[in-house]
Formats: sequence, structure tokens, C-alpha cells
Amino acid sequence: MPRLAERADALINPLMLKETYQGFRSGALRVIASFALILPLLILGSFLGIGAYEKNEVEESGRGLFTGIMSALVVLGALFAPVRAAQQLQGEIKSHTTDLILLTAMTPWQLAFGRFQAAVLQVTLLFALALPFQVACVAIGGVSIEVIVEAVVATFAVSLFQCAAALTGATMYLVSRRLGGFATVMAVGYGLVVMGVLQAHVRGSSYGAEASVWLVSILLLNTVLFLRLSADLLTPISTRTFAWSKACLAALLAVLFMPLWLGDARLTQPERFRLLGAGLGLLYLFGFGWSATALRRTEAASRWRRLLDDGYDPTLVYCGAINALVAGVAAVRGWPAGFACLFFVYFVFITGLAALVHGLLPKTSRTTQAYVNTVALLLGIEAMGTAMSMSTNSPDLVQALSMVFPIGLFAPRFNSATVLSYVVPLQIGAAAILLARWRNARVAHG
Amino acid sequence: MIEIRGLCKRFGDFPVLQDVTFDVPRGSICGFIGPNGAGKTTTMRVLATLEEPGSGSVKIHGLDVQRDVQRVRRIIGYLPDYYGTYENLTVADYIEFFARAFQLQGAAREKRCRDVVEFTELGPLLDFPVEGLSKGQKQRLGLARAVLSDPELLILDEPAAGLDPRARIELRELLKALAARGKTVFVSSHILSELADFIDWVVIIDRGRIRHAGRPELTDSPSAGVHYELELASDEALARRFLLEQPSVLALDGDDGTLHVELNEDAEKIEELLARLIMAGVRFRQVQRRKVDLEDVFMAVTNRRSDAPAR
Repeated sequence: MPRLAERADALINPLMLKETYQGFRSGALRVIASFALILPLLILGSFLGIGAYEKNEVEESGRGLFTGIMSALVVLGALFAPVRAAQQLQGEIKSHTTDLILLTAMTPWQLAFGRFQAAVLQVTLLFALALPFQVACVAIGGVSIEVIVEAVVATFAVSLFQCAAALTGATMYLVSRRLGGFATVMAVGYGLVVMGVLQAHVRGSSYGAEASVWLVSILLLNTVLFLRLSADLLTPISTRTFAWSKACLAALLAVLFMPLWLGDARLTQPERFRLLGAGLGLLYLFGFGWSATALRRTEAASRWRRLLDDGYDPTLVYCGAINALVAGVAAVRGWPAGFACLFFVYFVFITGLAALVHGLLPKTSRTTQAYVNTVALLLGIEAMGTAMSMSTNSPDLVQALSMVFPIGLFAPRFNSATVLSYVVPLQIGAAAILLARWRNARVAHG
Repeated sequence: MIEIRGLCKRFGDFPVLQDVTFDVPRGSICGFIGPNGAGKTTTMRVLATLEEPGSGSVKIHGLDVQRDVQRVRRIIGYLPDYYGTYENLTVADYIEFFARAFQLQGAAREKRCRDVVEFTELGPLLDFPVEGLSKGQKQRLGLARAVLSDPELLILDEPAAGLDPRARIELRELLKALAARGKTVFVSSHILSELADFIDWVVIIDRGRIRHAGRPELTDSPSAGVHYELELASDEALARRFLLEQPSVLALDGDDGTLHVELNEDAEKIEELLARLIMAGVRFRQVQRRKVDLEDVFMAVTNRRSDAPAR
């Protein structure tokens, strides 16, 4: 028994333990718990107060109470708890206590997962506190146990994801001080958008319970992806490869494209388009980010290493491989391979130009944020060009612009003309990447 | 133990470290000294694997700080110049947390915690909240954390900064005790007298460049001068003005009627300088050759001419 206890003790993540101690001793957790208890009581009281019970609208009272409880859980679990966890981590990074933890024997994954566990423990406590009220909803009537279980599982999954996303956003503070707060808001916002888009996608579809499982799986995979990202950001830059994050994203995309893989005839054409667009959008969002971190390292690398591989190539190969897979799925389902081809060209073109602009900046301004801003600017120009060509209804303009700019998002048909028009931007992008590397090598080695 | 070759580091356009090269032998207490902004903290953060070296090679115990990050982290203990503390944790919780983070388990963890508490004399403070500790107590707690994993090398960045005299003496005793246990201690400071008593190796850095690395005796330094103490019987300002104009005077400081002069005797003998001083109207009661200390080494190798010592 003592040996068993010792083993169990060894499994406890020290960070989780510390955060939980601190959480219980600080007033913040008591405030959250009080809210979780008081809010449903207030809602229940207000329903009883307006006399719904006497008016024989018992079921309506039950539904109202349930909606109130779930709203409180969404606000506290999916917004308040994650933001609080992120703020704590950012505070630690600011006060340099993170440096001390980095120097312990804990792996980056343990560091990320420990904090996540602590946040999840708090969220679980909130859900446990709300449980008696949910039982009351069933007793009052108007809500079935199945509905409660489904809603609780989905909200809990959203809360887990939000915690992971917020912690990753806070960890970004290590990469760039200016990016920290912005990244947290972006990560939490990303979660809400993903959830909203997916729910809009399955609402009214004939999937039913399958869709719920699919949604929860995607949320959980997103959670793991963000935790892995956080762990990668805590890894020293000289050994950071983002390999695990890339594997997680590949798994997430595989699940996201599940309806395409299964060849389900129930998908309409716009649904397929949305699914493919969302997946590839995700791939390139992360791809741009990974390229940014690769481009700012290797100050100590040799001249040849800089010229041939500054850490950007593995990301390019990864994006290319996923593209090929997606193109394969698309081809099976009658989709044009040009769609994926366009994205690949787009990636090379945008990252290449961004790398070049980034390299031209003075060394003091050459930050991840500057790179991300450049990417955003190029995407903005691209969007404007596309909008102009669409509004003027000028296919010639599209054709002309696509010779120098990979415009064509709205015309993903695969034919020889579009392939030819992709060659120019692809070459420009590749040349820009090489030029940026050559400049870096020259600056570093005089 | 520490082997640094050609280390360069820039922050933007500003070169913080330029071709830094030095060794620190195993088992020594090495003082890393230099004025504020010389590059001490950056060098220490590179050694602690918290900062990427721009170029060059940095090895601890034969392990490269860039390639063998995790292994290096296992053999070092680091006390930064500044770090915050955790709210709502007691001293006992803090030590327990780091012991767990160093993956010490069960009875071994309890024993190690007891040992470091005893070593740093934190016993009476175990139930105190960490954020309520004084600066000196926090430094002792930081040292307790740094030695928890029983590291081979301790990197201590300005451990005595901001401490009162009693806390400084206590810290010095702790460092001596660590050295007695065979640990290599790499300790930085810009207050030279703090280190003079107990270091057996010194590395001097100034404006990102290493000026001296070796034993702290002045004889090791080719650029060193000879030190004299002049007890004045006349106007001090006049003497200062005169001495500062002499090319043979390498450094000058002191107050209350006593001046410390570092003289380049290759350029001029002391008797010649004294004769010219008297001719200029300066009177003095006594002149004596002074025993060199760490401060003199520092002044010699940084080649400074200043009225005030580098602090």
C-alpha cells in the first residue's frame, strides 16, 4: 500500500497541486463558486416569483432554470476560468517565476498539462456545484436527462478547449511580450468561432447524435493541439520543432474531414466547400505561425544551414503533404485538386514575401509580431484584389492579377490555365524565401 | 566545469557580449564581476539555458547549453537577480513544490527538503507566506530552491544585491559552506568587496568583453599598476587635480584626506611623482605601498581612470 501511495503521489503534477493550493487559498475561486451557486438560485427564485409555478407552467420553469444554469456555466467555465488561468500564467512570466520552473526536471508537456489540469479541476468543481440544480430541473420537468447530459458534455468540452486555448495564448507572451494579451484574446475568440461555425454546420442537418460526437471529438482534439502548442512554446528554441503540434493538427484535420472520408452523400456542395475551406484555413493559420517562429531562429547556425534549411522547410513539407492528402480526398469525391494546389501556392507566396520583408526590417524590429503583421497585410491586399475583381465582374482582371498574385480563391477549378498562373507566384515565393535566407546568412556571418 | 569560447550576443543592434571566452575550473568559487550593463546577467542566463547564445560555444561539464538543454538543466542551480514569488504559498509549500518539480519522490523528497531547510536556516519560517518574507529571507529561500536538486554548478546572479549587512554576512557564510561541499559556484556582483574574501577564481567583464579570467591575484594581469596610499596634509582637491593630469596615474580614488593611487611604474617612479607633487604645493603626512585587492584588479584590467570605484 505505501508503495502504491508513493506511485500515485509521483503521478501528481506539481504545478497542478500548486495552482490548486493557490486557487483555494485565494478569494477568486470562492467568488466563482459563489456565482455558480447563487446564479441558479436567483434564476429559480425569479421564475417562482413571476408565478410560473401557479400558472401550471411548470415545464417552462424547468427549461428556464436549465437555460440559466447552462448560461452561468458557459460564462464561468468557458470564459472566466480560462481567462483567470491565462492571467495567472502571464503574471508568472512577467515576474520571472516561469524561468525557475523551466529549470526544474519537468518536461514542457508537464508544465503545460499541469496548469491545464488545475484549470480543469476548477471547472469540474463548478460543474459539480451546478449538479443539484440540474437534478432539480429534471424533477421540475421540461428537460430530459439526455438533453442535460448532452449539454453538460458539450459545455465541459468547450470549457476544456477554452482553458487550453487561453493558456497557449498566455504562453505566447514568452515568444513576444507584445503578442501576449492579444494572443490570449485571439485564442479564446478562435474557440468561440470554431464552436459557432461547427454548430452552424450541423444545426438542422440529419446527423443527430453522430454530429454531437463529431463536435466533441473536434473540441477535444483542439484542446490537445493547443496544449501541445503551449508545450512547444515552452521548449527551448534550439530544440523546438513543433512536431507534436503538427501531428495533433493532422489528427484534428483527419477527424474534421471525416464526413468527406466517409463519402457521406448527405453533405451538400456548400457544406463540403465550407468543411474543406475551414480545414485548410486552419492548416495555413498554424502554418503561418510556425513559419514565423522558424524564421526568427538560427542566429547561431552555419551559413549553409541558413541557406538550405532555417527550420521553415519542415513546415512547408508538412503543409504540402496535408495538401496532397486533402487533394486526394477531394479528387475521390469529385473535387478539383486545384483547390489544394492553390492553397500551397498561396502559402509559399505569402510566407516567402513575408520572410523577405521581415528580413529587410532593421534587426530591432525583426520580431514575430512584425512577421505576423506582414502576413496579415499581404492577406489584406490579396482579399482587396479579389474583392475588386469580383465587384467589377472582370474575369480578365482575375486572370491578369493571378499571373503575379495567387488570386483565384473563388475559382478553384483545375485546368491548364490556372496551373500555369500558379507557376509565377510559386516562383516568386520560392525566390523570396531564398533571398531572405541569403540576406540572413550575410547579416549573421558578415 | 564552465567552458565558453567566442560567445557573442546582440539585443537588436546592440552587442551585449563580444567574443566572450573564459574557463572556470571545477570546484572553484568564481566571482563574475563587472559594472552594471557589462553583460553579466546575459552571460549567466546563457549558461542557465534561458537565453540563446548568438554565436560561439558554451559548455558546462562538457555539455553544450544549446544541444543538451535538459541535461545541462539537471546539473545546474540558478538564482536570478530578480524573480517574483508566489502568492498564497507558505515557505514549506514553496520548497515542497520545487522538490516535486525536481522529481524527488517520497522519503527522498522529505529528507532533501529537511536538509535544505536546515542548511539555509529557514526552519522558523516554514509557515510564513512567501510574499511576506524580507529580501534576505527571500534570497535564502531562493538559494534553498537552487540547491534542492543537489546541482554540480550554482549560478548566482547578484545574490547580495539589496541585502542589509547581516543578511550579506549570512549569505557569504552559506556560499562558503557550499564551496566546502565541493560545489562549483559562479557568482556575480558589482560590489567587489562582497566577493574578495572567498573567491578563488575571477572573471572580469566590461562592456561585453572579458578583461581578465584567472586567479584574483594582480600578478596575473599584465596591465596592472602599483598601488599607493597617500595621506594628505594639504588641500585634497589640488592633489586630485594634479594627479588626474599625470599620464602615469592609472586610477585614483579615496576620500577624507587619503588618496589611493594606481601608478604605472614603467612610465614613472613614485619618488619622481612625489617630487613633482611637492613642487605643485601638495603636502602629505605619509605614503605607503598598498596591498592589492580585487578592486585593484578590477580597476587595472578595466583600465579606468575615475574618482569613484566601479560600483
